[in-house]
Amino acid sequence: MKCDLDWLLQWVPKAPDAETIAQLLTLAGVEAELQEDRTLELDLTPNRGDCLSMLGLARELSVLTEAKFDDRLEGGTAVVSNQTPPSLGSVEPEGCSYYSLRLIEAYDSQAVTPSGMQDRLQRCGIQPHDFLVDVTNYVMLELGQPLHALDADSLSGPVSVRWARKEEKLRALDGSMLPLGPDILVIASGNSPVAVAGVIGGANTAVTEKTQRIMLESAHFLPSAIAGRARRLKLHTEASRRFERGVDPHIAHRAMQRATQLIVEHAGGQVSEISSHGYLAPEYRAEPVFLRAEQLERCLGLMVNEGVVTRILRSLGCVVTVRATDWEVHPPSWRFDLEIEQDLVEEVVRVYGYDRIPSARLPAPVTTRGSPSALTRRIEQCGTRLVERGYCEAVTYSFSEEKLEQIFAPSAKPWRLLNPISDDYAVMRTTLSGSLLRAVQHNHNRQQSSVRLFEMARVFGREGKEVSESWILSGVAQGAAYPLQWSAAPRAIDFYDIKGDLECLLQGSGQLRFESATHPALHPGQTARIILEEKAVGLVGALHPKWLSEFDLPHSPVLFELAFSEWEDAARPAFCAWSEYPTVERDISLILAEEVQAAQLEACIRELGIEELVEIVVFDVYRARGLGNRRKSIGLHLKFQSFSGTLTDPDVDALLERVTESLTQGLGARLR
Amino acid sequence: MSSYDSYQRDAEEAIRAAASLTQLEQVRVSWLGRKGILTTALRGIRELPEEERPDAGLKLQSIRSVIEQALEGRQQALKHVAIEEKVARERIDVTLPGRRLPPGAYHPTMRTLRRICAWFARYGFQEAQGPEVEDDYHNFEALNIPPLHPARAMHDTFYLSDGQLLRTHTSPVQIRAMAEHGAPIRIIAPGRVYRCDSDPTHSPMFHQVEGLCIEPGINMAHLKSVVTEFLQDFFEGREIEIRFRASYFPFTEPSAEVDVRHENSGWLEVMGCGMVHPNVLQSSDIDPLQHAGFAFGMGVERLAMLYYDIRDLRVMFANDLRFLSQFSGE
Repeated sequence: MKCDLDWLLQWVPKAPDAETIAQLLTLAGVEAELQEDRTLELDLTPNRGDCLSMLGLARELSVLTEAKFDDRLEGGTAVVSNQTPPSLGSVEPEGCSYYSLRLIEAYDSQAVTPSGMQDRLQRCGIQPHDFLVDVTNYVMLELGQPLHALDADSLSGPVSVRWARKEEKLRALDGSMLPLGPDILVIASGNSPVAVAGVIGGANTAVTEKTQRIMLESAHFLPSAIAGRARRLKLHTEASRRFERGVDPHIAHRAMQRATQLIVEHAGGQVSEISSHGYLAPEYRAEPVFLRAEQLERCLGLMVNEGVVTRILRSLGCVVTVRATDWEVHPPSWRFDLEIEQDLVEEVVRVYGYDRIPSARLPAPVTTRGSPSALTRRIEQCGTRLVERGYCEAVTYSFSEEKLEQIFAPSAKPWRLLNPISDDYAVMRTTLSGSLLRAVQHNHNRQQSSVRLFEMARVFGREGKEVSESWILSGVAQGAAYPLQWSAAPRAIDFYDIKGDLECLLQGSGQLRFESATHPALHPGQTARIILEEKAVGLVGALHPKWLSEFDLPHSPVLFELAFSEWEDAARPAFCAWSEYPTVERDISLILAEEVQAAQLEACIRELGIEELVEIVVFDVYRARGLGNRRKSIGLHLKFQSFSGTLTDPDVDALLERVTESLTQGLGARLR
Repeated sequence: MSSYDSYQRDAEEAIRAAASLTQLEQVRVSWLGRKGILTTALRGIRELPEEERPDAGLKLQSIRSVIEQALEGRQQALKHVAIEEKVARERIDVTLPGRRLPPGAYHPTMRTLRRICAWFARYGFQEAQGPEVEDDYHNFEALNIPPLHPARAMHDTFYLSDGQLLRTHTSPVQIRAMAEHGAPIRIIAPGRVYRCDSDPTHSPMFHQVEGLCIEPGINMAHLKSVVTEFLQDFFEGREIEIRFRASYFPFTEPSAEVDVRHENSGWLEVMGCGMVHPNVLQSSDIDPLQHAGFAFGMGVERLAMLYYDIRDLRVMFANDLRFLSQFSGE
């Protein structure tokens, strides 16, 4: 809301300078920013509906500055002619505690809003319209009471306030057709609704230049009857904003008088008595709230002088009885947010000043459960290892395109958002790969084609009707394996680079192996399941070439996904003794069928259970025509060592013989 | 005897002439080897007349020792030369770039989030997690935000179905932690939150860290001290001013907004906080007469942007390498 400072100052003439006013309001919870045109831009919290008017702001300002609040200004009485007051139908008490109407006729329909009023409206952010609308807006800004004027001749019977019926509709002033329902309060005439109470008027009963007689409405609609309705109807109005936060239930009558006075003053007219229904609330709440001195100190860690507390509460408009250990407080009608003791504590400290609260060191924790959780530790460890290996951490949205889900998780049925911000963010993702590939694409399109990214986030699956959330670590890499340099030929990242990263990442977490696997999004010849301690924990593979065009990429990046929950914490390293005897190293070259995998060689050798064989390394993989059709050569480097003595050449030769024999017989290998 | 004199001269000359360790070794062998000149001469002493032998022996021994010294000296010199030559040969251009894989980087948001949690862990705030898909009860009602409460307008909510929504703040973790552990409790809850709002200054997803401390005797002075100390540490020695101002959150009362500024810039909002509302305590079966507590919540992106002087929220979610790689030193 915008507020014209000079208008405001009419109520508090002795207030300090504009800067100070803005600062005092802000510190006390009424965020105000001074603009160059001497208006205040207010950012009000929902509890301070009372500050949506000059009157309310002036009261607040007077409390904070201790400058006198002059309420005699803009009084408001109206001369009444002997018109018949309008007849009222029933008024729904659950939605409207007070409803009043008055008939005004024979006014000058050509009347023009005085320029001073127009100016104030504008400075408060409201465009001047025609005279009657301007007057109702003006009084709303002044006193906080939204008013509504109806064309009396367009009404088909006594005005009533009731809940709308099922299927009822209303064409609103702005032309939109509003679907109503039994929880929407309406003003009705005859059988049809003519306005949504506290939100907007209807088009059919709108006051126009042809209107001869108006019905002026001033009512108190309860916040519970208005709140949420404007949002549902997508129709936020000045009236709804005030009613849903709470309008002073005592002000309706005064606002009616004030508007009438302004109309008569500038346009003349004959004015009827007011017809009303319900009751006008008293100026103070009958139900007291008690503030205990002890509680005040307990909450703030600060002793506030008793007299100061009393003065603050009274300045806020409360009726206060000072008692031995507490204050009995009757909050004023305009404050909806003073309901319990804690609210009064806040009022006192708000006015007294948050800066006067001391600082007290937090005591040592009662419990010592401060150690990070296993999840946190794992997140940190994985992050550190990947960052060290050249990966940048990405943050992508948890919602994604349905298409990405179809590519990466065709069998998952992702949760759909009922109100997504766009189709690109329509479903809750069950995989991170798609989002990361979009990030690769973003970078590739900006000439950054060497990319290593990872993300750790939750994905959202289904468990019956429930959402299941689980943590995933996902990564993607493509482009140059290392930056261009003078001493090595450029090389593109491939499957084995990423596999190496994963081996380092999972180092110490248990027995790790990889086996061929397939996935609809991944290259069928370059995909592996990651198996840790005989449990499948994830997948790694190159993107299937058929998806390259979807991501505008020239080459397949390599992707991996690991489920955090699927692996145990790394075991604490346990000391292992080593042998001090020398090692003996031997290389063998084998010619094998193309289908034989390196893992099979190792398994075949390990099966022999040779204790002295401490290390097997594949040091060469070689393919050449001379080797024969669909054959390859694999070089193995074997390291032997004994715990009980130095191995001799004949010892090692005998062991090597067993190895080659097993490979020859088991896998059809031939020594080169 | 005179031939002996030439031995020394000749040997010294030959040693001087040796240009390499190999040549020097040849010289040594030719003089001192089994068939070397000097060795032969020494052996020849036996054939000399009896009276000449002692002198000749002495003479030859002294020549031998001179030659040995010369050989030793020459060997040292040649070794030195050889090393010098090797070193000269092996000279490299040390300004050529090293072989390296440039380090990656943590995302500034995530690093900030971890920094915040680590700081509060020192005070015994245990990290807590809650679901990102929440229900109305935990996200709103238990936090004193009943249906139709105007505060709901401040939380544009994404819905999955009637009862399921994406949490709009990390505050529901408070409710879950209180239900699980009761009081006393100190938790810090980081995570993703969602608001149905997207423009240059609002992202539909962002991160918050929520803190909660409920113990007997806790008051606003404690809150103020923890928050102040945290912010001073967070901005690491940068001179900042901190102010608390009144605000409103349905789940705290009194509530405060915390602003910081450094040097003469404007005040910037960095977190909301307050004393936990008695309704919230009651809804978690904690007796407000026995316990009191504070809660605070901060936007991680906002703090990260202030800390790293990032001006545009959108870069925090674009995952552009030109951005991410700037944080590799962290």
